[in-house]
Amino acid sequence: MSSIDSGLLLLLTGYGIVWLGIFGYLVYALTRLRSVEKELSALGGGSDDASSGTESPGGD
Amino acid sequence: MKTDEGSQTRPIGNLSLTMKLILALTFVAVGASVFMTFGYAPEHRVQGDLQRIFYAHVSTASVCYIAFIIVAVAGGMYLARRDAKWDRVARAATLLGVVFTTIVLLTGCIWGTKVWGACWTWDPRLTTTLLLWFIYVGHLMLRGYIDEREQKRRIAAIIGIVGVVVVPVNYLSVFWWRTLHPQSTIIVEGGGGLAPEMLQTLIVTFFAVILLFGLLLHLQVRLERLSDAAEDLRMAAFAKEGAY
Repeated sequence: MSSIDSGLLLLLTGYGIVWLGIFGYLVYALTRLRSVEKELSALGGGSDDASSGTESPGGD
Repeated sequence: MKTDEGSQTRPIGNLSLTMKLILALTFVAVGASVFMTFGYAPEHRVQGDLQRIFYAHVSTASVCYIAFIIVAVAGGMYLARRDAKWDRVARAATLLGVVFTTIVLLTGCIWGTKVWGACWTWDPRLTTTLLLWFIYVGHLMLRGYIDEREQKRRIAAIIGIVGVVVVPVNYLSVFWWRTLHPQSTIIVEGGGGLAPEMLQTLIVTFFAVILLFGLLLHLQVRLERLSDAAEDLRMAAFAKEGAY
């Protein structure tokens, strides 16, 4: 493989890491959000009760 | 119980108009960044095509600094006000900071493999970047080891505040010590900095990455809030069962 080819290959690998890393995280966050929302509904909290997760200062 | 302002969380599919606009702007910016990186910015005379990794590498590195500054500010706010929402912001920013620092280390390794002939060297800039990564990975791990919430949040806030000291050291390392890592080439006094097309590409890429970071931070904070709410409900249900 010529040096130009290897440079381009490394560049594409690097770009793949950047955008796959960022968009992969976006997909992970959205998936996790959906599952937590479902869990909240199952627990009877519902998304609109999410404020129950914000305790009084210092209190849990 | 104190409620979060604007905590009425809609289902994910029902995004507000502002969020839809930000999302659209983000995708346009990412598209423009990719186009400019590969089709607009000129090829580097010495490094060839591989130099194009610079735009994403520098942009993600800048966002790491922003993430760790947010961790410290949110940690300080938590210690001052003891309001759990600041801890959630710190948690989310830590997680994203680790993700972006990992990307910086990996892209740096790829770039270095070709330009320096080595993926890794104990250069001050690289070493302090790795140190940042360890500090914030440790920060996340520590949260998993401490059970008592208030104590966990307090210690995490302190680590976030202490850890941010490494950020200016990391930035200034290329000026303080002799390093393989180049100094800033964006703006050079007396000329000789980046070509205008390269500078424009860098600005657009930075804009795309910062928009993505903002979007991810928003999502992650929301996720942390819902996770806390689910944990509260689980604990309440457990306590209720125990009472019978």
